[in-house]
Amino acid sequence: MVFDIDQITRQFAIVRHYESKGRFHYLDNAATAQIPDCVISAMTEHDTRRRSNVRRGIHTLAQEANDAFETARDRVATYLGIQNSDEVIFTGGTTAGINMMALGFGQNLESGDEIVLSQAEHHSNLVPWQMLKQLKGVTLRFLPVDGNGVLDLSRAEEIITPATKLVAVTHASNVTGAITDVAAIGKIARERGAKLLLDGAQMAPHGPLNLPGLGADFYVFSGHKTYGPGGVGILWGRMESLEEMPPAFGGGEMVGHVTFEKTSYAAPPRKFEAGTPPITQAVGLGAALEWLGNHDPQGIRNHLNSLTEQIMAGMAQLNSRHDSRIRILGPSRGERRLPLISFSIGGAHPHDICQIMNDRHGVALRGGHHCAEPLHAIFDLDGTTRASLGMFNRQEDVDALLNGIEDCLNILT
Amino acid sequence: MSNDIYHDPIIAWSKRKEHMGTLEKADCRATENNPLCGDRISVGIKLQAYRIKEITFHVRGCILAKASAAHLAFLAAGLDLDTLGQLRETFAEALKSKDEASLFPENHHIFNPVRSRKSRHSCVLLPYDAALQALRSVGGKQVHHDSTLSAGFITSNAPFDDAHCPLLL
Repeated sequence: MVFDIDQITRQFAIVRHYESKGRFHYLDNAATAQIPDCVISAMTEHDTRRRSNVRRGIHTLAQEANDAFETARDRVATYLGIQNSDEVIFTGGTTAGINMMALGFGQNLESGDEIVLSQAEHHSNLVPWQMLKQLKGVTLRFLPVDGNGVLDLSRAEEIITPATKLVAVTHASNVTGAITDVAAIGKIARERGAKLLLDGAQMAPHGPLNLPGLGADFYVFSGHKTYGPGGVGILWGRMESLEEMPPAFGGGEMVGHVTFEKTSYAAPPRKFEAGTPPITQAVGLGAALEWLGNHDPQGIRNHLNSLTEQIMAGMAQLNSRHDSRIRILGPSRGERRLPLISFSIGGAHPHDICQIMNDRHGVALRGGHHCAEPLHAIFDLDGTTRASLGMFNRQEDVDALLNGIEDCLNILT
Repeated sequence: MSNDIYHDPIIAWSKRKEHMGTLEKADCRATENNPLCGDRISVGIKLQAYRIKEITFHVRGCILAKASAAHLAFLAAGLDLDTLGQLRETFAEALKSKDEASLFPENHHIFNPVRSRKSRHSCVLLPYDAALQALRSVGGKQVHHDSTLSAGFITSNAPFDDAHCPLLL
């Protein structure tokens, strides 16, 4: 479908609702994207027509719920570019997926084994591994970032060693917008016999993806950032990797045979979906990814890249009038990056900036360390303010953002 | 008063420096963090007969936290653990109140626009929590006694009123 911004924007009830009330400039999509009508309809239809548990009942509703759940899995698989939808595991979100990896993959690790992360990680891809370090005595090593927050791979051959069992890095940073050179890291990881896990929380909304072609072994992302509902996410793994990995959670549905003494496990994906999964949310996520996949991906990228460039150009103009008080993190103009921009303004506190942007300009931003406190420490910043674009954003959102930033420059510095 | 949270008195209070920094030979100190935003406030207090004689804040935080710390420092002299705790609770209740006519204590009405922004209440309360933590650390009692000063006599910080603070417009 050819990308048409007006046609896109009309599909978001929340945009229509606030447009009638005045200013609405939602630029916090990296935290949670808005949800299109078709996703809400899919979940409402499910809960009003097919609500039931899955895999258990033989009554009509149970059959229909099961079909809807598995159809959602197929839709996710299509978006991810994979042939075998049994490699798709529904989780509670990115954080839940990484914790499942730490608890499951981590069972096969022992003291002396190494896990390689990067300095750019969200706390969700740091804290679970620190917890595993406490449990198993594994060693954590970190790939550095350069001055733009891009993973510096010049020392990757030294940091990723034969003792490395897993390389777990972000596919794209939620702070800098820098996109990781997955091919290069994946090549080194494979040479060392290590698996590669990508945190796709920020990249997945900008798909469709081709996971087998990426060279990753595991991939995690969240529904609420991909125009879907909260409370659901995906852990994808190559089948052979999933078969090797012990389950993190035990309970109903994930079993083969159970006695009082021991349990055999079901094959993936059931092996990793203990208990009742988030069925309605999974249906919503399937609808969201199908909706995303039905739009012209290059058209979406062109639209978002254009808005991003306008923001960065506008900030450069403001800097020329305000003693270069705006500092933008991440790749420079013209370099590849996600449509998100984290910045600081002189000594102004990010929450003061966000408050002024909200109260005086109707612009919703995110301020703070964005769950990446160590990365901000590297930049010698306590926090930043982040504007992150979604496909429904328009020129007027950019204009409001830039006007608001100039207001902040005048009030706060 | 305008509902603009960054009105002139708030901005002016946030820029006041006279009670900012590190207090030498403090009787008690504390640091409070706001885990939601990473803000951090450190406080040093000199006591006289169980009451605050001198107080200094170091604020790594937003304008609201800075303004509230400066405001508290201006009126803290003479307060003890109980009265500071009462002031904090009265302030917190006024912030939470849906009654527009609710009274803020001690000229805290400059913070009235903060009331409608619940996520920012913790910003203006953080200096109070830091000071209370410092006083609790010594049981609200004086540990560095200066015998030249009599109990209850306040040597610094005149009692707060608008006449002492032209910033309150």
